[in-house]
Amino acid sequence: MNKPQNFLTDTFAELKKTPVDTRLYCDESVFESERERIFERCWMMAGRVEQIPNKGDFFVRRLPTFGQSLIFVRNQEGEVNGFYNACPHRGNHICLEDQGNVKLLRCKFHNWAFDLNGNAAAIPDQDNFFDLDEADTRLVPVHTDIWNGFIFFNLAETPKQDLQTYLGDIGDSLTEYPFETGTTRFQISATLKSNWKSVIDSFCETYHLPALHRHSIATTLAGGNKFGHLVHALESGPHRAASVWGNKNYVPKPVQSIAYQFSSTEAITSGQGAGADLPRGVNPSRSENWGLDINILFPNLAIVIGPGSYFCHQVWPTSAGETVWEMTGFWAPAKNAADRFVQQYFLSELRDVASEDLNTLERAQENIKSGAIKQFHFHDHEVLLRHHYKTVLGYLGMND
Amino acid sequence: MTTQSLPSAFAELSPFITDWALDDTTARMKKRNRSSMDDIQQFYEAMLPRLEAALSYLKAIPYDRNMSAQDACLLKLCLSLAEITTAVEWYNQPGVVDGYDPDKILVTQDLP
Repeated sequence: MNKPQNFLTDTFAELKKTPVDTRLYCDESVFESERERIFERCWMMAGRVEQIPNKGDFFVRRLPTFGQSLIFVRNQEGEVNGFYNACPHRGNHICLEDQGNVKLLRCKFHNWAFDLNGNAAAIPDQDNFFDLDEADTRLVPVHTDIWNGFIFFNLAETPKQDLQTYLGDIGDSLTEYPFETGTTRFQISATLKSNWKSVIDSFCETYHLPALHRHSIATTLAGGNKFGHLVHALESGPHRAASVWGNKNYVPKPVQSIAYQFSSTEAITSGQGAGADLPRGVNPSRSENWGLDINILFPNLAIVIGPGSYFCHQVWPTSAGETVWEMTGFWAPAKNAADRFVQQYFLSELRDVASEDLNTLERAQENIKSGAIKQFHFHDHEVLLRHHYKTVLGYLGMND
Repeated sequence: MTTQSLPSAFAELSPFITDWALDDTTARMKKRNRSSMDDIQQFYEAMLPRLEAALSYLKAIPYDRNMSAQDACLLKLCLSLAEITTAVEWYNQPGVVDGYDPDKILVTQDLP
């Protein structure tokens, strides 16, 4: 047996090498506990500041995990405020559209209206209410902060840490990345019969590339890297990241090659390879074989950064065995009609590659739910999955 | 319904307008997944030799509301090619090999 001398797993603090218990991925009581201790307490991403550039612009963020929605609005001072999408009078939704621009947020039930800081601006026939406290007439705020143009929220009454502290070094290492130039968005979504952790995990290892993606990106990303080893992996508190190998000798297919050729030279970042001019957090090991980075911001966001563009996966569990998955691509706006083709081409590739991943999730969920499979065996290069497992156990106060 | 047409230099692609000059990503996904591989292959083979010329032409056209109907029609054919390329270059069948049910993948925000 030719065993590697240095395990990636050993570069992470306190990771075991034993099989993990699949109960964490299918037990409803575990999920209830996750919802309370993770999703109600951690900072999570709601959208981008570019979605609401002007005063009065708002968007609504649906939270499938909680069966409710939040409003994010830019106020007169240019700050972003977050509120529950709920009228304090009788609980109707305030915003019925997904996005728009308003002077006042108005509930269409009884015409209660609120300024962009959530204060009541008009309560029809207010004199006929009984002891209405000012505090009772405000929209219920949600803690909101911004990192690199990403709007985050925290449902805790008092978040344990501010957003910057929470994101820690992985957040710091990406601050110079020009996320703000990717104002053209594309999003697809599916409701998967899979645990949320497995969905995130499926984008965190490349050991599956040569097999599962044999028709698509196996040669693009794993060519010259027979077992799909990661180039680099790191942990940063509850967050984690990996760099994926890029095959520099890949010969594109005919249309693919023309799409590459017409890719805008003003893409978000330039250049494959070591990229000394890239932010510290992009290709952090400065590998010559860099393909892309996967950054997992715990609990439910993956930011994938490659040459030229970035995209996100976000997951919203609704039970132990069901997750709403969203994949959002970001591009600089198409300057000309050929750019528009290139965007469409890459999103087709992205979607089809993701489509190859999804069935494995539902099949595995079936087998862990039925009890047929009681343990997962994580490979050394599935180290991010093991870190994920350990992190969740930590939040739940459970022992391995 | 107005009849779509192409810029004269690309008139030979006109037979594909009815089937492939579609308005959005969802329509293109549906068309791909309900087409035979023969139809997809035929469209791909007609478009491929003209693609560089088409993109060179479209590169000079600003992508905005002022695009002419003919230029927009050429772009729509190219966008359908972008949709079906993986069927030909990766899968050799209309849909993703062992892919997730395409009808369950919803476009929640299309490209502008």
